Amino acid sequence: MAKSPFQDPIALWRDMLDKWEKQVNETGNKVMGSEQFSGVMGKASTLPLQMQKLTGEFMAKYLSAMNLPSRDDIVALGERLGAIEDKLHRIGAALDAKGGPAQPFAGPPRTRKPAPKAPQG
Amino acid sequence: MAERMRIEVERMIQRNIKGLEQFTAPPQPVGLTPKDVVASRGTMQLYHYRPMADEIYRVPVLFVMATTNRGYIFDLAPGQSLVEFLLKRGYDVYVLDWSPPRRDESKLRMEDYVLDFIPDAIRHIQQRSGEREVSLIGYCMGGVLSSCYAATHPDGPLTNLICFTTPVDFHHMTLFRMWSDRKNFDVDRLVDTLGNVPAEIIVTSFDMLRPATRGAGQVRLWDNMWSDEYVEGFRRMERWSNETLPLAGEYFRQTTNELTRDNKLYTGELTLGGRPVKLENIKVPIFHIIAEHDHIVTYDASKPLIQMVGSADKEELVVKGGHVSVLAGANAVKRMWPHIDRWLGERST
Repeated sequence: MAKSPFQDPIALWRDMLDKWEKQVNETGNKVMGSEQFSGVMGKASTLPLQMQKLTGEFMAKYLSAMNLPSRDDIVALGERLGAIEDKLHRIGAALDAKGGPAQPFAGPPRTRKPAPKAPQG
Repeated sequence: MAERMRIEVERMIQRNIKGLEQFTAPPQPVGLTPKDVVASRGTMQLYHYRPMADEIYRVPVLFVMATTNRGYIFDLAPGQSLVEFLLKRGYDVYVLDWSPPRRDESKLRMEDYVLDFIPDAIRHIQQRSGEREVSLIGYCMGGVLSSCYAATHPDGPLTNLICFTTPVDFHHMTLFRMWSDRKNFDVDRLVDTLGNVPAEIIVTSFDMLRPATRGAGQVRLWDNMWSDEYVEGFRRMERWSNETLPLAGEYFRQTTNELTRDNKLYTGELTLGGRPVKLENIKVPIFHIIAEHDHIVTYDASKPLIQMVGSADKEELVVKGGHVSVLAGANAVKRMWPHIDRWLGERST
């Protein structure tokens, strides 16, 4: 038999938390699903983007004046390494193709069958 | 009542002690099942998990992770790892995982994932296993990519397809559709400005679907702080959520325009690399698992998959759980995983 909420106030509090979460989510979804909210959100998201772009450009000029590598320089190095990695991958694949298929992984035998189904009824 | 109060006081003390430990604790370990990196190329990583059974099924299994998140959700913790579960049941398991795309990878499109990364992973698996056939398991957008692969490669070597919580009719992802409407959201400006789309934008949009849930989750964490099991589980999931990946800019532009806005996967108008992506071209046995309480990919968004494929052997299963809890966590172990073993085992010999 379920306990009365007066006997278990902690359970009552947990139940209230569940209900609060459900209600806020439902209300939030209604508000956020409106044209008005979506429009405001779209506009709000473009401002930080513009700020981020301007800050990035300013920092790049500053670091260049200080004779320090910018984030873009480091990323460019990463890209060069990535290109080398890709080229190595292509060379490896070409060598594999030339030398015939690689030896399969020596694992357990591939002979497993599913357990027979239990008889019905 | 007195007993109840005694328990609560005891828990209160434990909460204070363990709450302090929380601030200094290192990140919860994840992805511990032994594995080898078979291939690593830019954003693509292919892992092969070491078999745990004396005898394994003939057909290897490849998991395709969603492009937004880390693949260790399949291997969260010992005893709560889908990968470990399948290894112990005799499967040969591979996972195609993604790392954050580099800036030069901002040009990656769906074509790169469907016509290059997945086929490349399958080639590696064929070489390593000595088997031609492979089964695919795709989660969320990983399911979309796997379905697109299956639809564009009807002549094999795919032999089985399992999808978890895979969206097909994007017009039923109502909030995402509203937010990304051309009137409200300038996807070109976002991608042209940033290159890759930062993870924060992805996390915020997921959080906005359930605006109260993160806060309520913190309150529940405090309430359950006395329980090591709860806290460890919470921290693992929180880590996974915090490690959400940025998205390649062109991929984001393409999925926003062609899937979310124009719903081309559902209407059959999607083409990748000049190839039409028609779900009716999927003929392999397919099993789609949908989460009953999925707030990200709703039932209406995912149910057309089974209706639209051309497979004679197809099954849909709706199980209790949400978008993530259907796959990982204590309940998934009982609710979903045995169904995968039941369905896949008899098709993997």
